[in-house]
Amino acid sequence: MGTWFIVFGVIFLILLILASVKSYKRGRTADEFMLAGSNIGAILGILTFAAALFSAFTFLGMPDFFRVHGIGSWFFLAVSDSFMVFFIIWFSYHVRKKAKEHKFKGVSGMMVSIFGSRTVGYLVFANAFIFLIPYVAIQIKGVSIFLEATFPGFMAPWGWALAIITVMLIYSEIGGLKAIIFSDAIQGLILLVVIWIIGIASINYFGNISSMFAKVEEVNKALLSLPGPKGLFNWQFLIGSLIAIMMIPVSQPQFTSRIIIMKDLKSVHKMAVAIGAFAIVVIMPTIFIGMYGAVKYAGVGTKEFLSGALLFDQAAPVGALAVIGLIAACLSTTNAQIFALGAEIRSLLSGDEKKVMVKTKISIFIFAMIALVFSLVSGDELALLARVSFTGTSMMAPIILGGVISKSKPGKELVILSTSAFVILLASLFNIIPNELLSIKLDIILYAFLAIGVSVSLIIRKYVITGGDNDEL
Amino acid sequence: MYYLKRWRWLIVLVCIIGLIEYSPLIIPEGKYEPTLFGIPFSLWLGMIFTILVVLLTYLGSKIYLKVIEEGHE
Repeated sequence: MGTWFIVFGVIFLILLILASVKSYKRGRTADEFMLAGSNIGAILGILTFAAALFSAFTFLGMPDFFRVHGIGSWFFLAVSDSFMVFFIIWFSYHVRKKAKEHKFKGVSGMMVSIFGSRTVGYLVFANAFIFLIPYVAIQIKGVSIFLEATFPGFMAPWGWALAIITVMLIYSEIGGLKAIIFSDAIQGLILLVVIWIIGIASINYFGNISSMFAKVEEVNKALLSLPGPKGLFNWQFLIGSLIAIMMIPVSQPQFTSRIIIMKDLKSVHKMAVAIGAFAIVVIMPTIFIGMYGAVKYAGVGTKEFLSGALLFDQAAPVGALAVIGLIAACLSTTNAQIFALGAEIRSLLSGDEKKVMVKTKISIFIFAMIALVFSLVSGDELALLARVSFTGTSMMAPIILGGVISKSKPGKELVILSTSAFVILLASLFNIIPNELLSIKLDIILYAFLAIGVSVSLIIRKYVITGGDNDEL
Repeated sequence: MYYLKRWRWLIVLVCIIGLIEYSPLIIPEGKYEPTLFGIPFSLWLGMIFTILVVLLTYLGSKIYLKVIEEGHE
C-alpha cells in the first residue's frame, strides 16, 4: 500500500500546488484573498459547500455512528440536512441582501453594522471561536489517529497533526479562499469516489443489501430501528440535531460566507438542491460501511474498526486512496473553519487594509496552533463532538437571523437571549449545571426559550413599536 | 401573489412532512418491519422522505425566485 499511497499522495500534492498557483494573483486585494472575489459559480459553490459540510466527520464519524447506534444515524444527519437545504432557499436571499447593504467582510462585522454595537460582533466571534476550534480539533484528531494506525511507529499523532496544519497554512497563505475552494472541490470528488468504493465493497462482503441487514439482525437487531441499542436516537436528540443542523448556514460563518460570496441567488439555489442530493449520496455508503462494522467489528474500539474497514480490509489502491481522501477531507474542513475565523477577525478590524491583513494572517496562524493543541487532548467520538459544535454555534441564530430579517435595527433583547443561551450551554458543557431538567434535554429547553423569545421580540417590534411597517418579519 | 401563495403552501407541506417524519408513524420504537429489499422500515421510509424534501427544495428554488420577481420576500 505504501507505493500506492506515495503515488496518490504526489498526485494530490500536485493538485494542491496547482490550486494554490492558479489562485495566486500578485497585487490582489484583501477581498480577493479573503472572499475569493465574491464570484463563485454553482459548480464550485456545490463542491466547496459540500466539502466544508461533509468532512472527516462524515467519512470517519458516520460509519462509526451507524455501527454503534444503528440506522437512526440517517435521521440524525441526512434528514436534518434535507431540511437545512430547504431553509437555505429562503435564508440565502435575505442574508445576501443584508450582506450587500452592509458591505460584507464577515458575519461578526455585519452584525456590528446591523446592531450598531461592537459587543454583538465580539459575541458572535467568541461563540464561533469556542465552538469551531473543538470541531477543527476533532477532525485533526480523527485523521491523526487513522494515520498512526496506518503507519504504526512512523510518526506520533501530534506529528501527523502538525503536518496537516502546516500544509493547510502554506496553501491557504499562497492562494487565499480561492485555493481553499479549489482544494475543497478536489476533496469533495475524492471523498465521493472513495466512500462509494468502500461502501460497495462492504455490501459485497455480504453478497447483497438484503443479506447485509439479515446478518446485522442476527448480531444486534436493535441497530435496525430507533432509538438504537444505546437509546441515543430519542425524539429529543433528533429534534435537537434537526434544529442545530438547520441553523448551520446561519450560525457557522464558513457556510454563511459561502452563501454570500456566490455570484447570484440562482447559483445559491442550485447549490442548495445539489447539497441535498449530495448529502444522500455521501451518507448512504456510510450506512453500508457501518453495517459491515456492526457485523465484523462488533464491540471493538473506533480506531480498530476504522483502520480495519477503511484500510486493511480494502485492496491496496483503495486503502491508499482512502488515506489520501481522509487527509484531503481533514484539510478542506479544517482550513474552511480556520479561514472563516480569520475572516471574522478581519471583519471586526478597521484601519489600513495592509495592517488589517497582517493581523488577520497572524490570527489564522494562532487559530491553527490552538486547534493543533486542542486536537491532542480531545476525545474520539467524532459525530457527537460535531453535534456539540452545531448546537453551540446555533445559540447565535437569534442574533444573526434577527439581524438578517429585520428591516429596522433589531432589539437588544435578541442579544440578551443569545448570550444567556450561550452561557447556559457552556455552563452545562463544563458540568456546572445539569444538562437536563425534568428529563428534558437542555438544548431542547434552550431552543424553546429562544424560539419564544425571538417570536415575542419580533412581533412586538413589528406591531407595537413600528406599527406593522417591518413587513419582512 | 400567485407564487407567494404557492411558496407558503410549500412551506406548510414541508412542515407536515417534517412532523410525519419524526412521528412514530415513520420511527416506531424497536420496529424494523416491513422491510423493503431487506432495508429496515424506518430507514427506507426515511430515505424516501429525504428525497422528497430535496425534490421540494428544487421546486421551492424555482417558486421562490418568482416570489422575489413578484416583489414579495
